[in-house]
Amino acid sequence: MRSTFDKQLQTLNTQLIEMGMLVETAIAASVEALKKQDVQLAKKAIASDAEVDQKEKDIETLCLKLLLQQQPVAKDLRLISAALKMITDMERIGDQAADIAEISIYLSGQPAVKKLEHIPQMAEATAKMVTESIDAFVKKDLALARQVIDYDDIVDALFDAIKSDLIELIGADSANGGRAIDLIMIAKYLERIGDHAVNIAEWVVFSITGKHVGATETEGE
Amino acid sequence: MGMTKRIFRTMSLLISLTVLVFSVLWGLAFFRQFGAQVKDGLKTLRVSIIDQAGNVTFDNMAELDMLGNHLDRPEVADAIRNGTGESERFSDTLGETTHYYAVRMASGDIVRLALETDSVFTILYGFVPLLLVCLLLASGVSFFLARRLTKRIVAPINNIDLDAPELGNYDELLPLVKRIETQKRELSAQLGEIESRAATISAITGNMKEGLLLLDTNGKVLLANESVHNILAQDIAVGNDMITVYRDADFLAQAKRCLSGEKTEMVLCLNNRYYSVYFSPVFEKAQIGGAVILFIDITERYAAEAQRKEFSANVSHELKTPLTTIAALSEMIADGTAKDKDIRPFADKIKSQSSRLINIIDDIIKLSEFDEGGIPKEHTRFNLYDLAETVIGSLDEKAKERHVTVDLRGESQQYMVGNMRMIDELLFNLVDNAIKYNYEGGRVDVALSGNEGEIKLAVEDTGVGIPKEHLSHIFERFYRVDKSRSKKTGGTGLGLSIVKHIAEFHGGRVEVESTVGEGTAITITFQQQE
Repeated sequence: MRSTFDKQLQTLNTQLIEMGMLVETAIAASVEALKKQDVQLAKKAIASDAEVDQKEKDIETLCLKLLLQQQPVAKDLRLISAALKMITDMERIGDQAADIAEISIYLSGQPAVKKLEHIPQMAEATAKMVTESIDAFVKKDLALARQVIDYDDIVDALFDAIKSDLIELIGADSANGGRAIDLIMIAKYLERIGDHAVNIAEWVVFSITGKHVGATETEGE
Repeated sequence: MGMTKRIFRTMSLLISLTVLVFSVLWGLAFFRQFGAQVKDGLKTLRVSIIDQAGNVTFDNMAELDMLGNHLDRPEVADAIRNGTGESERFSDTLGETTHYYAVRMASGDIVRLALETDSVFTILYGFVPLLLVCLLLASGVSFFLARRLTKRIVAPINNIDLDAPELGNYDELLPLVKRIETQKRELSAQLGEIESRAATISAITGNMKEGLLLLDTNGKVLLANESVHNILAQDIAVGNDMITVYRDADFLAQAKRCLSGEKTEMVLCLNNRYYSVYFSPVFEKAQIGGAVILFIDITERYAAEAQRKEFSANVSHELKTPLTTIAALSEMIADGTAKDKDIRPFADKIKSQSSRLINIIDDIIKLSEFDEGGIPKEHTRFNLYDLAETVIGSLDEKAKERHVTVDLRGESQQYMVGNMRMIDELLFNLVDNAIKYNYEGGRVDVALSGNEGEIKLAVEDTGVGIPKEHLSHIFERFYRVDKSRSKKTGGTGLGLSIVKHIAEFHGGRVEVESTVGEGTAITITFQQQE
């Protein structure tokens, strides 16, 4: 009985990592597409969103099945409930990666704004957060999870920097307005992805310690 | 005492003891029971007294009226005749056999005793529970004894120390112990062999530079050597799912394909190093038993390959430019489009372009010799100062053309060990460059100095200099700081590449210092083994 359950939990673990990998690949592809103005890559990133959604459904089914059939307690229950929450965040990341890819297709027809170095920086930073939050889950690494939670401040600071960059851009030439709006959307999506990565990291902390920390009270834990 | 003898003795002892115990018990019990039985038996005894006429005058069990004349009874008749008589009869009324015994008394009356068979059996039945008790007691005693004795027989067998067998009296066990001993030796030999084989394998996998990863059919890690840990920068625990070890969609897809029996390979970039990764399925009796994944570092080869590709592209381009000019001009001459007065200048141009081609091809040949690495170390000891002087002499005309003064400083007896032809080439390239990229009326200083196994060769000019951003590239093949200028000066873009190769071939170090508009100093330091 227990061995079947253990096997199912193992499957859940693997599936979560697989979903993490899909999301990671999607965000890496859309960031790369944005930087290199690569339409093909952007289309790939958009296409992978369906795969992410399917994975979410699969994991959800598995979690509910486990809850009903095995009536887990303690650590197992924490893993399953954290999984249910994490997939929602991962699915959102997948959506936003696809959104970024869509805008980058739209932007690829226009000359790049060379001065805006902060956007690729922010993209790299959020991609790193997503990767590390999944790493933290894989390795059950509490320190890494907390590092991800703290790293969100850097992404938020970059978002502010981009905002002022874009204000400057519009100030220099109001014709840049349209593009500036697209770029602020991308920055906002990235900022949201960062938040979702923080959520994942928080659920990782929960599944290990049993305590769920809100972003504001991560210190002093 | 041998084992057989001991068992025999024990068994005999046990049997006799059991019999003895049973007999004693039975004797005692029988004695008591029998007394009681006899008493009971007497109570059921029927006594009749019969007179000489055959009439029953006394009977303790029957009504006298009911009894007929007894003269016809065989036992009575016998008693009258002989004094005693006996018989037995089956009585239909009672359904039992009755034994009779009759005696004639002195008075002539007959006393007859009768006992029913039933009473005999009753006596015997009375003994059955007693018999059972005796049997139980006797078997209890013998069971207890048997247990103790068996233990005593077996104890020496159990106590045999197989490492140093001492059989005592049990010689019968010798063949068995011998056999066990042999098997033990064989086992430990086999175990040792297995251990040493495992040690060999782990030594091989542990020391190999290539990363080795073994997966089972479920994609779980069976083995990961030291190098894989370093390559993936991960602690890989055996039994973990591959996805927890390295999360890359392409890699995992390849691993999956491999586990379905396909042999594949891919190139992975990890921490700025390139790896060729080979996936091979492992077959066990025509079934897939897992996958072997081998990581081979190909960073150098990858870089060399990239450089080679770039080089071939450059070579084609460099060769094409002068050839196009030659082809165009010669075509004009051939089809008569060129005017007579143009033919000479055209011919001059063709000549200069073909000599440029020859220069490039010469340089490429030299470089490819270096690339192949098969140049013999034809090292000799020669006078570097004299060599430098000769090189400067050969460039004298060129220097004069540009009004550049070339100076040579240093010890006139400066010897070095190396390939003289190559050092000649190196000096020529350096001094030639220093003259070419100089201002009118500029200077070139060649300085030689040597001490303690080190020779320094410095060529300094007062020329145009090299901008900072180009400094790190000037030794690359076909790299040119100023493309338009090189056409004029006739450089191939390969000179400094050759210089660097020659310096490295001699174990030398090349340093460049340059200020735009002021000049360039290239210093080469050779290590000399005395």
